[in-house]
Amino acid sequence: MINSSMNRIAVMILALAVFTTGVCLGFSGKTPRERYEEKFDKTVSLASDGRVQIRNLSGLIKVESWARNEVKISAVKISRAGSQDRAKSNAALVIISVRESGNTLDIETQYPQTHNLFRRDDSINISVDYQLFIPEKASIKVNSMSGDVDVRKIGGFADIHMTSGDLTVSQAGNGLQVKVISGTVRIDDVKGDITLRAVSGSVIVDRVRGSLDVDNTSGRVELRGVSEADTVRAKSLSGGISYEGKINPRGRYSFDVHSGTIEVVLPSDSAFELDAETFSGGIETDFAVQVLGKVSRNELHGTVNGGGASLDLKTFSGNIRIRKSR
Amino acid sequence: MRCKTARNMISEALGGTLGPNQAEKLERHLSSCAECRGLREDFRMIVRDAGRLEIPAPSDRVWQGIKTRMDETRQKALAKARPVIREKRPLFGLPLFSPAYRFVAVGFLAVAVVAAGVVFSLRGFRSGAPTALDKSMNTTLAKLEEAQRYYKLALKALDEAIAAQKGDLDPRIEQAFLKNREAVEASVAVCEETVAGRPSNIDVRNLLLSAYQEKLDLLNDLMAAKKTSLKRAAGPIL
Repeated sequence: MINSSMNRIAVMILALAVFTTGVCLGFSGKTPRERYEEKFDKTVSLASDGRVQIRNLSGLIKVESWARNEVKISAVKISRAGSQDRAKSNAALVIISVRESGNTLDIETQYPQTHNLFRRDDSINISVDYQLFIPEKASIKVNSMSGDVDVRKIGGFADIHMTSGDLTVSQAGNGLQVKVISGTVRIDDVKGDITLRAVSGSVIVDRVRGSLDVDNTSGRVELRGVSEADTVRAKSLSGGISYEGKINPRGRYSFDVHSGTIEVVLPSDSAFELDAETFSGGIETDFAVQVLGKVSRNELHGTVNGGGASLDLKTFSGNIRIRKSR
Repeated sequence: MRCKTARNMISEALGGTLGPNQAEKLERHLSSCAECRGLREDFRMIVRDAGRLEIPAPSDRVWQGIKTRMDETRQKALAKARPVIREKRPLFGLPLFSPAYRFVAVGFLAVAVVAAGVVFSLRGFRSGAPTALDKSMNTTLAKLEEAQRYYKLALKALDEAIAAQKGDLDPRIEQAFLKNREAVEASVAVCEETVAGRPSNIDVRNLLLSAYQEKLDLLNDLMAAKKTSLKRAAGPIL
């Protein structure tokens, strides 16, 4: 009798201990209340056609050009922790490194490497937002793990690698190379050729004077106002492709979608050679096509307005539509 | 009656356990068989001499042995009838399963669980986990997994389409495709295995997607080649 009541008490104590632990762990998931900000400002000389590289783990990156042969770096460290003191001491652990090497300026956010039981690397909740002003003709290389990137009015080549975040590029004067894993890509008013690889997210390209090579795994590709292109190549595994604008009479246009629709909207006087194929879908066209070869539900080959540019449209599962712009 | 049967009956006859019919049959055999008669006489002499012998009394040691065995048998019978309460042996001299010690052990365990909970929750509170970076990485990994699924669906659909497609390839071209396909599939398998071993590694997942894309391109080329071959076989359009 005495044994069984003691057993009951022991079980209750253990249950209370587990409950208390659960409550503690539950509260630990809450966002820490305190936020601390620390500013960083530095200006460094750089040749007008110099090169700027920036690597950031977490935070926003904005890049813009200006008329000076200097790079102005304005950054804000945003630290979050359970107390102000803790947030401030954490912020001190993250270093913004600026190194010059020849004609290259290297900017990097460096996080500490600690192996304390009570503090891990990823226990520091800090992001760094950057605003860079770079010389007009300078090229920029951005490497960002998490955070949006915004590049505007630059005259040099832009090489952008992002893991997660949205990308906006506007008014770039010397072409782009972009790799984004997860995020929306918006490119507007670019002179020069563009190479773009995306895994997940929409790609919207507007007013490009140059060739395009776009690959998107899962997401739509929208191309508008493309001109002066020798080649425009767009590929999407899952998600459609739409192209709207003029075509270069000597250009080669190739759109390939595995699962999704291809829609091409062209001026009514466009002249091109058409090769359209779909495995399981239909083909519609507003243009009068002088057919070559066999006509079938899944294939259409011929010339429009006497021929000129090469238009190669292919889908595995989806429709193909060729429309006249209004 | 045979001699063998008769010999077996002789000892029963001497013991007085043979039935009247059997005894009559035995007598008839003995009257005509000297050998069996001789055997009966020998048995009679043995029985007579054995009856004259003295029966010795068992020694004390024998009685003690019998008594011990009887006690053991009785104890076993008692044990079956009632459960035995075994006494637990102490561990390192401590009475391990006594209620008091059990109580103390549970108390220590409870304190240890709460202490561990406080330590880990403080770590989590201090870090503010999950951070925006953690969430972002989880989203990215989820998107990469989604992309993998799309690729697998696409590859499956292409495989089925190729299998259903008419048109034969030149054997040399077909051989080349098969070789390339084997190489690409081996590459995909290695990448898949690497991803399975390191599921949070984004670079490794990207490699897998590239491998899928290679396979997709190859299958697309194969489909196009078969189509072209089919058109050639159909002849020129007049």
